Amino acid sequence: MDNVGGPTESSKPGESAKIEQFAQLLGTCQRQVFLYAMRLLHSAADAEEVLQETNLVLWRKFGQYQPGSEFGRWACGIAHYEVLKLREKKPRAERLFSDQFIDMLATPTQRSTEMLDARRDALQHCLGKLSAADRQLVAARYQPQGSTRSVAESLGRSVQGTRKALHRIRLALMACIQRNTAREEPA
Amino acid sequence: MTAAAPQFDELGLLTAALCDGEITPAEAARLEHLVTRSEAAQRYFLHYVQLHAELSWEGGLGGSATTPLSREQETRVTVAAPRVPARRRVATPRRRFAALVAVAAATAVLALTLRWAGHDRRVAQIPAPPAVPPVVAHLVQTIDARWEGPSADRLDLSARPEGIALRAGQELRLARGLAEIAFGSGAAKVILAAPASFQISDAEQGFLRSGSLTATVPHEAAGFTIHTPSARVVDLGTEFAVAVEKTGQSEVQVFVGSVTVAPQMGHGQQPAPHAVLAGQAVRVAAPAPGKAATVEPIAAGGRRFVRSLPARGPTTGSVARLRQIVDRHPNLIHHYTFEGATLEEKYHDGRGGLDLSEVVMFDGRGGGTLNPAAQGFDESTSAVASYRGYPGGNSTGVGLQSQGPFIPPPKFTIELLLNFAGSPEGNGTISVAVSTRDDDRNCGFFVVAVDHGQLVHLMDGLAPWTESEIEFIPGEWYYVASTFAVGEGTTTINSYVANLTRGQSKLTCAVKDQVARGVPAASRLGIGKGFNATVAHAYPWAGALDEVAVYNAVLDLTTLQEHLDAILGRPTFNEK
Repeated sequence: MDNVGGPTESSKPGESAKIEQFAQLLGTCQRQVFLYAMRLLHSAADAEEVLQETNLVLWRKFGQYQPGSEFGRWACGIAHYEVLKLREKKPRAERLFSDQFIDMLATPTQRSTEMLDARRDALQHCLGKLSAADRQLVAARYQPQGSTRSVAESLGRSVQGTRKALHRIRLALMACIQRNTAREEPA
Repeated sequence: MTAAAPQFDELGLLTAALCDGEITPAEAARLEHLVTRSEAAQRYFLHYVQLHAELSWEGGLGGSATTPLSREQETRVTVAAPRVPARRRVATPRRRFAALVAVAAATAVLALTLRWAGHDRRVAQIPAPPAVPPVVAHLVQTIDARWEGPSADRLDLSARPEGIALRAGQELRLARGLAEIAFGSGAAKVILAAPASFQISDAEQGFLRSGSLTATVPHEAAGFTIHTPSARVVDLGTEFAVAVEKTGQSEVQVFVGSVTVAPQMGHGQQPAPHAVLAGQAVRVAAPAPGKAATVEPIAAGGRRFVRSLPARGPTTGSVARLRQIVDRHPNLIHHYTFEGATLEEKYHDGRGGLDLSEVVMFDGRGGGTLNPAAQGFDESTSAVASYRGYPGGNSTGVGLQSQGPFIPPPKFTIELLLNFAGSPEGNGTISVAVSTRDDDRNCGFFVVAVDHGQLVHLMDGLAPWTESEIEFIPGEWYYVASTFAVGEGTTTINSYVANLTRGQSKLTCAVKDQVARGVPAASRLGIGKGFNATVAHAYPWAGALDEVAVYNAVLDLTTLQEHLDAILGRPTFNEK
C-alpha cells in the first residue's frame, strides 16, 4: 500500500504535521551540518555519524525549537556537542588536533556561513570545467566508501601519485571557486 | 584564498594528507601550527576542507556530471525499518536517511515525504570501477609530449616520474613529442614519435595505427611483434623502426639484427613472411580488395627515426648542468643560483659581487616569509620563493634586492627559471621577477607576470607594457630568457620561453623585436620584487625563482637553446 505522505492509524492528531515540519527543516540543514562536522573532524565517516546523532537529538528536542529562528544554526550548535562527544570517545592518540584548535575551527563567521551557497554554486560550475579524466578521478575518490587508496589501486596508480593528482585538482577547484566568488568574498 | 601560493605549499600538502586520511600525528601537529600562524593560512585551510566536505557530500560529482542540482529536490522515502545502530556505519548518502527512519519508526509513522537536498540519485549514477586489464608495459620517458584521447590525463610523467603503468588494450595517442614505452619486464622498448596512434596489445605486441616508432628488442625477447594496418613485423632480437602512413601503407627499416615482415591478410590466410636484415627497408602496401599484398624493398635511411632518448638524470640534463654551462659563459656578469647552506651563500652573486638581501614591501610582510630553500625544478637545485601577501599582494610581501646598484649594460640578457604560483587577485596583479627603478618613469621591469600570468616588460612607468602570448600556467616551471638592446630612448626586447614542467624542448619566441619606450633604469636590482612609483618595494613575485643570470650581451637563440637543452637533455636520431 502506498501511503506515503499520509497519516496512519497510530498517528496522534497533529503528529504528522509536526513530522512534516521537522522533515522540511531537517532537509534544509543536512548539508550545513555535514559541512560543519567535516570542518571539525575532516573525516566523512565521522561527520556522517555526527550528522545522524545530531538528527536524533534535533528530533528529541524539536519541542524546544522556536519557530522562525534559524534551524541550521541550532542544528550546528547541537552538532558541535556531538563532535566533542565523538572526540571524547576516541583514544587520545587518534585525536589529531588539540581542543583549542577544534574550538578555533568551530567558530564560523556569519559571513562564511553566508558564503556556503555561493561557494557550492561555484563548485558546480568549476567541476564542469575539469577534464573528463579529472572528474572521473574526483567521482571515484568521493563515491561512497571511496578512498584515495582504493582509487589508486583500481587505477593501477601509486597512492602518492593519486594523492598528488587529487591535490592538484582540489587546488584547481579552489582557484576556480575563488575566481567565481571573488566579488562576494570578504576582502 | 591563495590556492596555489608557494607559502601554502606545505600547508596544502598537509591538508591534502588530512583529507586523504594519510596524515601522521607529527604532520597533524605541524599542520595545526601552520594553520594557527596566520589568518590567511586559516582561511586557506578552511576553504580546502570545505571543498573536501562538499565533494564528500555530493559524492564527488557536485551535480555537474548529470543534471544541475536543485536545492530542494523531492525525495520520497518509505519508512518502515527499525533504528539502525549509529556506530561505525558505512558512510553512504542513503544512510543519511537512517536517523530519520529511526525517528519516524519511533513515532509509528510509516511513511513521509521529505523535501531533501537530493544527492542520492546522483551518487547511484557514479559508475563502479571497471574490470581492470593487466599492466603489460610502462611509459618510462617523454620529451615534449602532448597526449590526446581518453587516457591523455593519465600519462603525465611529471606526476609519476618512476613510470606510468599501461594496460593491455590501452590506446595511446601522442599528438606531440616523443615517448618511450618499456614492455613486459622491460625487455622490449618502443620509442613512439608524434603524431602517432598506438595500442598496447599485450606484453609482447602492439598495434601501430599511424605514425612511427622504433623498437629495441634483446634476443631474450625475440618474437616481439608490431602490427600495422598493412603488416605484421616480428622481431628476431634486434632494433627496427616502423612507420604507418595515412593510406595505411607501412615502412619497416632494420638497424640491427633482423625481422620478418608479412602483409596483413584475411582470416585463414598465412602469407609467407619476408626476412629483412640490418640496413634494409621494405614497404608494405595498404590492403586493397582483390589485390595481392606486396612487400617491396626500398632504400634504407630515407626516413628519420628516433632511436634513443637521453638517459634521465643530472648527468645528461638538469638545472645543475645548466648552472655549469652558465658559469663558464664569458659574458656572465651576475649569477644567482640560490644554492648553499647559509643565507649568505644563497644570496651571493656568483659572478659580480652584487649580493642580495631580503626586503619587505611597503605595506608590510603580509604575515608571511620568504622561503630561501624552495623546491626547484629538479632534485639538483633549490630555488627561492618570495612571499606575496593576500589580499593586497602588490604592496605586501617579502622579496630580495641587491645591496649595491645594478648598472644595465647597453646590451644584456636576463635568464632565469621561474614558477608562477598564480594570481588569486586576477586582473591588476603585478608580479615582478627581476627589476630596477629610478623614479616614477625610469624603470627596468625586466621579467614580469601581470594579471593571470602574462609575461610582459616595461622600461618607462608611463608607457604601456610590452605584449606577449605567453601566460604562465600556475605551478609550472619555465625557462625564460629576455634580451635588451638599448637605443635612443627605446629598448628592443626579445623573450624566449619554454615550459620545463611539460618538457618543452624548443624555445618559443614570446616577445619578438618589440621596441619599448624608455631605457632600463640603474638602481638596486630587485629579484622577486619590483618598485612602485615612489621607488618603494612593491609587486612581489608570486612563486619561486631560480638560476637568475645576467649577461652583458644579447645572447643568440642557439646559445639559449643550448641552455635549455642542458636542463632537459636532447634525443638522438637514426644517424647516431
